[in-house]
Amino acid sequence: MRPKKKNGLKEIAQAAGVSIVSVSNALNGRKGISREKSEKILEIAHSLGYSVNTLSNKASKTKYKFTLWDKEKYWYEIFCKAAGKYNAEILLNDDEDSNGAIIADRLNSSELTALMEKKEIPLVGVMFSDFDVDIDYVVDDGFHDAARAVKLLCDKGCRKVAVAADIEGEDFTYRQGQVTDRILGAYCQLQTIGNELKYIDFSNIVAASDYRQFFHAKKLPDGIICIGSKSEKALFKNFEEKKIRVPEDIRIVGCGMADENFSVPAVVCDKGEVAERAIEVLLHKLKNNAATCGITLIQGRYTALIRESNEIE
Amino acid sequence: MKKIRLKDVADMLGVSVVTVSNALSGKKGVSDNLRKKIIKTAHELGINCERYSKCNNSSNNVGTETEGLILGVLVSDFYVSIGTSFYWEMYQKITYAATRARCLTSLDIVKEKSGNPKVPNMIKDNSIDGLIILGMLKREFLNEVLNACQCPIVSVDFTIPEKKISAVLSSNYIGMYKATRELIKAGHKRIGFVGTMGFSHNIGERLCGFQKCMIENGLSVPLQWILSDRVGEMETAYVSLPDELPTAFACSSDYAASILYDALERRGLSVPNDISIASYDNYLYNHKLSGKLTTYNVDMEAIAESAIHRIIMELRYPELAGKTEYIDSNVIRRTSIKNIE
Repeated sequence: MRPKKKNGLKEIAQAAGVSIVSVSNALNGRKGISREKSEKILEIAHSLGYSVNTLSNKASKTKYKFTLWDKEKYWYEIFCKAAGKYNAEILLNDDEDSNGAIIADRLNSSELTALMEKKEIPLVGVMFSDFDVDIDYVVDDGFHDAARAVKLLCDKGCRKVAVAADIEGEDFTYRQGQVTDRILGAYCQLQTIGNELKYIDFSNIVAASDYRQFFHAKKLPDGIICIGSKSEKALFKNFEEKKIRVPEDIRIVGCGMADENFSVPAVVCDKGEVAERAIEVLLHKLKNNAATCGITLIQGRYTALIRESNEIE
Repeated sequence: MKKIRLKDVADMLGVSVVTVSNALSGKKGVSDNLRKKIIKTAHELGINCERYSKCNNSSNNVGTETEGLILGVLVSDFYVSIGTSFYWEMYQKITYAATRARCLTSLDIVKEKSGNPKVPNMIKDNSIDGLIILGMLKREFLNEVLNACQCPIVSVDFTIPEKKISAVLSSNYIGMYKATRELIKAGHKRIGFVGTMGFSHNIGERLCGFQKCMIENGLSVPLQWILSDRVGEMETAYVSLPDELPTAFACSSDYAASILYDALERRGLSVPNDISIASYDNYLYNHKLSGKLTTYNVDMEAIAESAIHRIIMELRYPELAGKTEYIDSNVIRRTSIKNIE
């Protein structure tokens, strides 16, 4: 049934009435061919039963160049490593010709729009999202990470679970969205496993999650999910002073931003995975002329073996 | 924290790094037993097996091996009756995506309405290569299916969190946030929500997306403005309106929006002149609101594509099971929102 692979390009070229070079260019998303013509060739390739990937894989040695906008160089190494796996190259804060751009700096809407208009290349924002600018974003899935952290506690038999978050400090405006996602995710999960569904006052939910309330609380829950490592470390120390044992008396699970370190089991986003997905998104758009995929969520990874006495799984 | 390497896994099990690499990337030359052990250990140490196998398979092509695979699709008769429905269309998209991957689909409609559904033969005699479960099934029956099934499973539009089963669904939390944002951008501050809490996990997540948008804008929602869209034990579709109404509603589905619309109409109120509506699905037919509703689009095509992709990947790398993918899309702006000052 399947046409012989080595005849692939020739057969498609004949069917489409174009040269083999055009077919190759179309399948590999190279320049030098109009979009219409390229789409037509792809369609014919499909109808002949070729998977575009089969044919383009070998030729995908075309090295893509991606600009990384990252003033602090916080992501540079991570992206270079990820790019290596996809045979792509990362240019740092470079204005030269590139096939796509990764935005790790937190640009505002007008800066983003300006960039989008200036460069007609695919853009992907990393670890932030701007709902006013229609480009792709790859972000950590704090909402579901926190839900998962709550589930881990409940699976271990915790029935009264509380949320502790660090909601102070100069950088809170910057972190606010991520913290809110996690608080809501935790409550969402608590509602589905909670015995009764009662309505929560959401407008006060962030303030009510301040971790400092547990320093002097008369009654403690049997499980706490700590959003951010700062709250976890502070509570851990406080409990130690009060001779409250973790996890015998109270269990703690962390839920953190990218690459945060916890001394308890935690669900944390992996920056390497974020970088790889961001490059995949760009490649997907370049190779398939695909539309914007919107926000791609990266689920955090559960690290259990940090402190064995508190091990959950 | 020290970065965990393949060597750590190798040392722990007393095998060579090459063996670990072969096991994780799905290459030959490792016994099944050892492979399982290695994958388990790697997983426990926090190595992302999916990533590992992904970067190693770029030279192999999935497409060449999928030809002729048969994928079973299960859907409850609650969701697909004669005529059009969301899940019918979803099934079409799945079949279409399967065809593109040169696979066949085999549909089985589960007779849940009549009481005693039976596990289909295609699952019992293991004649399918993968199974897609489209929409939640009753718990007991679902467990029967999961126990009987020996091939990779992907659930679409719902998750089975207690089992290691992959799921693909629309991005509830982000989507509802985006829809609610449209109301706020139009100047609305008094906004209610329509959707039954606790009815499904999807609705719970959408309520949270709605609340995120309200919190960020410093707005609160009184309890009486969170309306259920069904009443009684039979869960009849009905919205009971409070005396005092907000200026806008975010609805958890287009269907909920249509029920709200009917209730508003009975009270002599019109959309969007009196009340604005934003909702979720972009799937509403044969209703006065069809073609008018501003709504978050559920990208069925992308969901179907992703479900097929996951099944095919899991056939090769069973250890990838258990990932949930949320497919985002955008808001379709129509005329159900009025700008207010």
